[in-house]
Amino acid sequence: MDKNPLISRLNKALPGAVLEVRRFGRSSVSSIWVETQSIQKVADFLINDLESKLDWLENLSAVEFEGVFVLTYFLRSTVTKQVVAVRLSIIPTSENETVTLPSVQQIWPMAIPMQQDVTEMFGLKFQSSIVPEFGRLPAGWEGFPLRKNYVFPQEVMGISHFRPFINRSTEKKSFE
Amino acid sequence: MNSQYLWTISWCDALGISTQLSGWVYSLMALICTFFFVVAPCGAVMSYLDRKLSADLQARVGPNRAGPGGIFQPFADILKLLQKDSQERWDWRENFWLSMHTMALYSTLAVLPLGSAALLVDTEMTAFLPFWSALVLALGTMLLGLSQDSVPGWFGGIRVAAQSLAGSFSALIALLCVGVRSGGFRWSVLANSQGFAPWSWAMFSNPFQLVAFFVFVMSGLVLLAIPPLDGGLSMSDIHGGVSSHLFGRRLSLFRFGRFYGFFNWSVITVVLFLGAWRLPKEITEALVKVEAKGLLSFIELIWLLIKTFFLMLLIVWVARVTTRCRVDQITDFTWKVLSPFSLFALLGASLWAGWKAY
Amino acid sequence: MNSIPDEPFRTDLTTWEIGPYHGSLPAPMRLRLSLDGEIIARCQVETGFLHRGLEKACELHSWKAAVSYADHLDPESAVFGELVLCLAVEEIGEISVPARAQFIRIILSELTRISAHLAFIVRMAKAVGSETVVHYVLRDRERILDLFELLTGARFSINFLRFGGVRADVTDGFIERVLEVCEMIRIRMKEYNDIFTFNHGFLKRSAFVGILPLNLVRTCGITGPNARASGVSLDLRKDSPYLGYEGLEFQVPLGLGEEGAVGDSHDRFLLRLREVSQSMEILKQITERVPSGDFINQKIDKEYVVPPGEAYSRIESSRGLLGCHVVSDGKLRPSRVQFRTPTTSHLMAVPPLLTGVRIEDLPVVLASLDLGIAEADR
Repeated sequence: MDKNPLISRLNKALPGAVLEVRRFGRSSVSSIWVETQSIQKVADFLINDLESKLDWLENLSAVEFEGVFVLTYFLRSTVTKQVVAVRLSIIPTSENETVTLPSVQQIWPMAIPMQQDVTEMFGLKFQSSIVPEFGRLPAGWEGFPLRKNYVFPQEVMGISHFRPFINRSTEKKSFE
Repeated sequence: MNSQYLWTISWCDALGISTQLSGWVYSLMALICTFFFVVAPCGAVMSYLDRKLSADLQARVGPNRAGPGGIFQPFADILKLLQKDSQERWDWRENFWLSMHTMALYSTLAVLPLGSAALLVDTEMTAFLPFWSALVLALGTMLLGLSQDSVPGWFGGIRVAAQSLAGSFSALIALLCVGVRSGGFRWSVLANSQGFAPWSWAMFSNPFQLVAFFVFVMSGLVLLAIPPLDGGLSMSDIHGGVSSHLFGRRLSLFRFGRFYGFFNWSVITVVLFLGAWRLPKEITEALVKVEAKGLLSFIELIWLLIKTFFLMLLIVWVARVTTRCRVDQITDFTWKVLSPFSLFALLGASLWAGWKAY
Repeated sequence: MNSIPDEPFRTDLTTWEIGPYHGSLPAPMRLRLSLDGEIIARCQVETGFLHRGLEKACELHSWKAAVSYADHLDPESAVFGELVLCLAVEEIGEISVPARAQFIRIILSELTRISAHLAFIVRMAKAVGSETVVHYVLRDRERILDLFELLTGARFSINFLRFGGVRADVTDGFIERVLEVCEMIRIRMKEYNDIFTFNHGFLKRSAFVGILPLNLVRTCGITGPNARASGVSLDLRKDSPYLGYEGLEFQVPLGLGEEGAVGDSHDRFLLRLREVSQSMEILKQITERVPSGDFINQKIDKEYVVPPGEAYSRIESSRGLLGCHVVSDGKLRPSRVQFRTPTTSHLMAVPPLLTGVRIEDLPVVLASLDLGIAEADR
């Protein structure tokens, strides 16, 4: 994978930023694991790199693997059609803690709604200047629903979350 | 009031009520009878025809439950709407302006020309009176909207007022064209200058009158905010304008008022341009000879209403297949297109009349 | 989400909140407007009223159930949500899909695209108050829903795709009926054009209204018909073909600005009409060459467990690029299912697009963007 010219250019420009290069899943796309705090610099390099020109952040996805959050930036170039996945990982020190990490919205403006999504659902905050006023969750929602340790509230705005449990097997028996 | 045409006197005589009532009682009875026996049934018939026709156009069935072919749908609607009313909200401003606006509207009942024998008011200036009430109606709608404390109300009210101001100018000029032709603004004069046959209608008498006819119809749609030129009552962007805060009985009052405006304008258009209530000379003379005055006025009324419905359905048809225009486009069109055309028609009609007189 | 533009007008502004339910809104959302007279000076968009927690629901249920949740991503075009999930899972598990299944999937996708675009015409006609067109188009869309019913048993939310194929084989006579419906819609398109597309009143309402400039397309990452109407040629069916689109001949129409400017509301409308014709072209080609064979990979049974791994699949839905990132840890449930929906980007463009627009054009601009709030809220 080191033969990838983009990686070697990236390594030259920002030594130490790239931690590892792997294939993304079973696809031919390479996923570049970068150091969390250097994501802004990496993004800046990728969009300005004349040969790849990764100017489009197609998707920003967050995943929780056994307590570690992994952010994946799916990048695509509208000019060269190159596709790359940039990934970074964050380990929160405690449960339910919000972690702050650099924002890429100055480089890719389309990141604004995606980052907001990650903030709301995973509790990962971005150091961004533009904070959207409205989210998808109701105002004052507690907890981060897409974390694995999320506990569903018993009641939301007077509506009970859990339906009364019906044991189908016993019901059937009573019919018989 | 024109006691000569006050047909209620003869009715009262025939029913043996009294012969010595004062004039305003007879007039009031005439107004009430006109409303309940002409305007309200016309509303029912027209709403049914409108719904059935648009349903046919739009490849659906339309009203089909109440009565055979759904003919009782208007009654079902009115019964339903009368049951609905708010129990809590009593806004004196809204009620005040709603009643003001309704009163202004139905004051035109007195000048509604419905036949040679059913003219309550027939003075030299009668033909201008509907304009007066249309403007008061616009003002009433605007103040009703402004009193609602909501953005749809404000927008709706101001849009309706702006449209009415724009439309009234060209409508007035178009009216002058007919007056120039017939030599007066009495309903009777305007009607008698035309005949039964289409070629004797004012509309086809000369090309300028044809222009005046189209200007008059379109500016009437603008003046009274009738679809497709009803930007002030748009459902999609301002939620129906003034009517968005009205419901139940008040909404039905408002809606029926809008129908009445449409009906009124169509009747006037028919009287001015489309041969009014004129029947073939022979029928009229024969009926006058046998002194069947009631029958004559009845036939005249029916003939007038048939033409009116035809005109209204034509407008409904156009409204169903066209998009709703924006208010600024409507006012633009009215000031920049209709007004010059109306002035052109007036000039031409005057020259034509002068040439004929010469 | 909503960057607030500078207020260009220094007058007393009226504030008005529209929503969550309003006749001019395509779905539950709230617009906070500052109005200068009848011109919108500032706009904020609030969404989230349709948030159902689809991604969480996918994590809490089995792999098979995830398909029926993906189906609800966009109720109007259900098949795209299912398809993108199935493609991702098939990449993780290296599941081969029989050719017949792929062809059925393409037929479903294109039918859904036509039906979604017809629904778009309905919303557009509603926005400009043209009732008759609404009824005409809805009547014709029913025919496509009938086809769905014939094939899958359901009209909406069809829940038909499975990992490694589809749930059932095509019914007898289905292919012929697809062609029949195509022919009918081809005739009807002419009718729509006569009555609506080039109607002077509609042109007046939609041409030069809500022009989506190229730089906004780039900054918001807008895809699909909206981007193509502004001149960005990006169609994943051509650029990175999936399912077997590479073997089909069709064109990607671009906005030309025939009646107004490039990227205005009318351009977006015209472009979708053209896409309907292209979809019909695809359907005509594909119905001729549906191969025989299995409709599902028989190895994928009830006990199938998706191996650990991850995949990111992307398809061209009726609204734009729909992506799905699926992570599996080898257990019975998905570890993570994340959707990249096109409407998220479209929503970002709404405040700048609406600024300076007359309030009467607001429904037209919103309808012409074809917002799928259900998929944005997830």
